[in-house]
Amino acid sequence: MADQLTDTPAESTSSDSEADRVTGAAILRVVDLEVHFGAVRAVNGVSFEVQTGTAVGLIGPNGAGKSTALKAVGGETRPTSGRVIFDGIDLAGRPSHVAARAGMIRTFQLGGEFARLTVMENLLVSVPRQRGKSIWGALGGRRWWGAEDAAEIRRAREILSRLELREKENDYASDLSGGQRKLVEIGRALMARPKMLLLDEPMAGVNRSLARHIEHALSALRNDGLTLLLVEHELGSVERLCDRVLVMAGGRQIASGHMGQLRSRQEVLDAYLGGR
Amino acid sequence: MAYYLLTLAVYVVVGVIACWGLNLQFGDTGVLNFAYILFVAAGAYTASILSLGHPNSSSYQHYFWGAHMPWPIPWLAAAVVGGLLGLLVGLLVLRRLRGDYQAMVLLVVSIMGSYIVSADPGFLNGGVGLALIPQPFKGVLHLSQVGYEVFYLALALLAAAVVFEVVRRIHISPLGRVLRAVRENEAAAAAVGHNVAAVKLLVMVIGGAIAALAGAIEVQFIAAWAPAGWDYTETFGLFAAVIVGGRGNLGGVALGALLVQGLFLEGTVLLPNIGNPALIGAIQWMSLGALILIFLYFRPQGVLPERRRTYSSDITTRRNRMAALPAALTRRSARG
Amino acid sequence: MNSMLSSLGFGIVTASILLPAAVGFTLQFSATGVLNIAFGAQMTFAAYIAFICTQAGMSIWLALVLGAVFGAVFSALLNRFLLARFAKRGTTFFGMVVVTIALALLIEYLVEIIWGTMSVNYQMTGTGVVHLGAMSFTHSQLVVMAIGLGIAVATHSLLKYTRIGKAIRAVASNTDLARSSGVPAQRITDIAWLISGLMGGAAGVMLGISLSSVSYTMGDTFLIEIIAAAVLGGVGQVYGAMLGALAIGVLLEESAIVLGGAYAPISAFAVLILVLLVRPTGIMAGAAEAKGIA
Ligand SMILES: Nc1ncnc2c1ncn2[C@@H]1O[C@H](COP(=O)(O)OP(=O)(O)OP(=O)(O)O)[C@@H](O)[C@H]1O
Ligand SMILES: [Mg+2]
Repeated sequence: MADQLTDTPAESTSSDSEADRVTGAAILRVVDLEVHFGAVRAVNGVSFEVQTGTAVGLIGPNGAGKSTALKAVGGETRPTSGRVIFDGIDLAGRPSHVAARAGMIRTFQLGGEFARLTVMENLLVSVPRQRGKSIWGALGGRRWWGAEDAAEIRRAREILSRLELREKENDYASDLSGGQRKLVEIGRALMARPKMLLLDEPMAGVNRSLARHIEHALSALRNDGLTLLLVEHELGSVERLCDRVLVMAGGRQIASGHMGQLRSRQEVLDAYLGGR
Repeated sequence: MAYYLLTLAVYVVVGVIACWGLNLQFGDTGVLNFAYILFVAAGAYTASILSLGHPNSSSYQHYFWGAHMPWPIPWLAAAVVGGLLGLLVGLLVLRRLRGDYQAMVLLVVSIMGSYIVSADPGFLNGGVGLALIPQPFKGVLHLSQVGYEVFYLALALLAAAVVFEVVRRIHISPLGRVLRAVRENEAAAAAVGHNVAAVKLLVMVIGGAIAALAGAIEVQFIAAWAPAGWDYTETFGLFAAVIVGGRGNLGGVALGALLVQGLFLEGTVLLPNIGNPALIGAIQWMSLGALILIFLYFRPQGVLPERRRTYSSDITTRRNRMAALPAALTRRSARG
Repeated sequence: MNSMLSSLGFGIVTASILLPAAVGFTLQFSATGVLNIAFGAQMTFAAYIAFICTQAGMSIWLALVLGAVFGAVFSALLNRFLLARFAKRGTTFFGMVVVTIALALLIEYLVEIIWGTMSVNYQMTGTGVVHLGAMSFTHSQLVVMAIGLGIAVATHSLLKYTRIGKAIRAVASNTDLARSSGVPAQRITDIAWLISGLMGGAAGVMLGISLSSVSYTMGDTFLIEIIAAAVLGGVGQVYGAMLGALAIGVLLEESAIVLGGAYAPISAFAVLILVLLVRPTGIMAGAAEAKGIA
């Protein structure tokens, strides 16, 4: 399924109604997630589900615990308690490479790129189960892994073309703009053939036209059937991209529903305007 | 003079091999192995006791066990021991400790190693060290002194060729990309599915084996080995070579080993003798310190920086990879 | 048993020297993020400056003060004219470690060139012995212990009650946060280097007094024990470093009695590594855990 992400162009370009999307069982189930840093309860009892093939938004004021929740789901931060069931496996407390190998790839709010690797190499790093990535495979030499690698390079070029980064292929990631780095991270995540992406503010700090470009790219991925969990401050994008939205404040989940409905809910307004 | 230059050449080859191993850990993967010289020492001791013969055969030095094995067994066994030590130290240090703790604990481990050897005279002859270590084929070849030096240099070059091929294959492979990704950003490497601890363990094992091989080659050449020769500061000399030459660039690293290990540390003997030898030693080490500082400040990427890897639309040809070199040479960066 | 008690006395003396050193080392590390391998060499330098002072006829205690002041100034200058510049160039954490290694080489061998490889002795008068049960201390050892204790108390009050101390703690526990909430991190960095130099300088002279000799590799050898104490306590944890100093100091001297002098450092470091296997961030883990070093 994930292979099609890059091979088939997006067919249905805009379909915001949930009805005509094929949604299966929950691919991700988070139950009573808590993350404490000493006395700070960054995530304080959060439960939600993400249906296969849907996009779920996670919003809330600064310091609400969104990034921490995402890190705990993706395995970088160890949850204090709670369960993270992805694709039938309980991943809570497992390191992030285990989550990634299970098919859940997280992008970073800041500084997630491999700075002194080229854009192409950034993408190639995440190809799973490649021949030349084991020590014996590497010692086997180019003849052993070269053809497979060449195929992955072609796939990376297709992804880069879709992200409009093709000309940047040989630039170091550190030489790109902030928005382009976010795109590289998305491309890198796709190279891993994921079932689900955890995106931490993919459009933050990016100029408007690039932000729209990123939004379109994500929209196309969603339409291809990839599951998304998206943390984002730009609520317009969240509304357009997400089937359902969770609101966090002070480590707690305070509301959920369609973005359209949430805009008018008093507790959501309080959370944003009250600054807590 | 020819004799002296040949000796120097063997030292340089040993240095180049050791620096390639260190580069795999530090230059490619970003592992700061401050215990690196311990692995060189482990290889040297292994090769020594595997060529000295039974401990009772000499009365003036003591070691816990020994055998008389023909070349290349002492060298191969040294590499195996170095790899196993890398596994052990890696499991101890790399799995659960944070980066800054790792560096400090490795420094402590290096010093502990030399305390252990010095503390027990029955283990590896204590602080006095082992001596009269047999040289491969010395007895059967009946060569002149210079002739034997040429022969030994050839053996060392053979080993260097094997090591080069191993590190080169890792370097250009998809695995090499993973190593560099771990160096650049551990959290991101993990987030795309790489087990960072396992990757570091791997380079501890391979780098450890290479270091130990370098130690084996050195010890069978100089025929003696003692804790004073593998003080933990020696590790910094190797780091200096890798930094000056250009970490992440195999040719650069070899050049750095030639410059720092060869000309700087050994070649000063060629200079006219001014004052006492301790003074020369001190000046050497001070210049080494200054050299590291100057390079890290003005040219942190080294003389020959890491190459930018590009992929032509077809399978990469050697020619256009070479074409990328001049561009890489003129690049400057302030990243440490 | 008696010998174990008397070596407990030695252990406390060693701990009293380790304490300022480990506290200075860890405080500077947590406030500035630079792992300073040159710390031991700086200690040695200060110890030799005190030696010059005693040569000039000063009392050893005045020399100690001057040695510590020299350590502080030297450390602050090193930061201003060298380390801060590397930091400005974006040198990474590991790059900075290599920078301090190079510095250690420079300082250590400069000392060797100036004062040679032979060790020198402080001129001290009135070295009577005081018996406390099975433990016996020379007068100078007693003073060394008193200074160690004094530094512990002074550090505690500094961090707890002064504005600068609170700011240092704030920067140490979270540099970005402290910066964004208006703590002048640049000045804190300067002060952290000053304090660590002061403590290192004092510890260097104290070490010379306690060993009754000073040699050019002295601080370098001691650095490992400092690192062990700091790591054991949890890097960046000032009180942890105090505990770590006590533990390592006593352990070193006790194991010297039980296992023989040659094995003493080995057993102390073996304990360090065992502890780290159980508690990967030291005894006083906690705040340091949350900090995350790049
Ligand atoms: N490693 C950590 N140690 C201690 N506290 C932390 C840590 N990481 C996050 N926190 C705290 O947890 C809370 C939630 O932080 P988090 O980064 O998850 O917020 P966020 O919702 O992503 O905010 P933003 O919109 O600004 O990205 C904050 O109070 C933060 O200070
Ligand atoms: Mg966030």
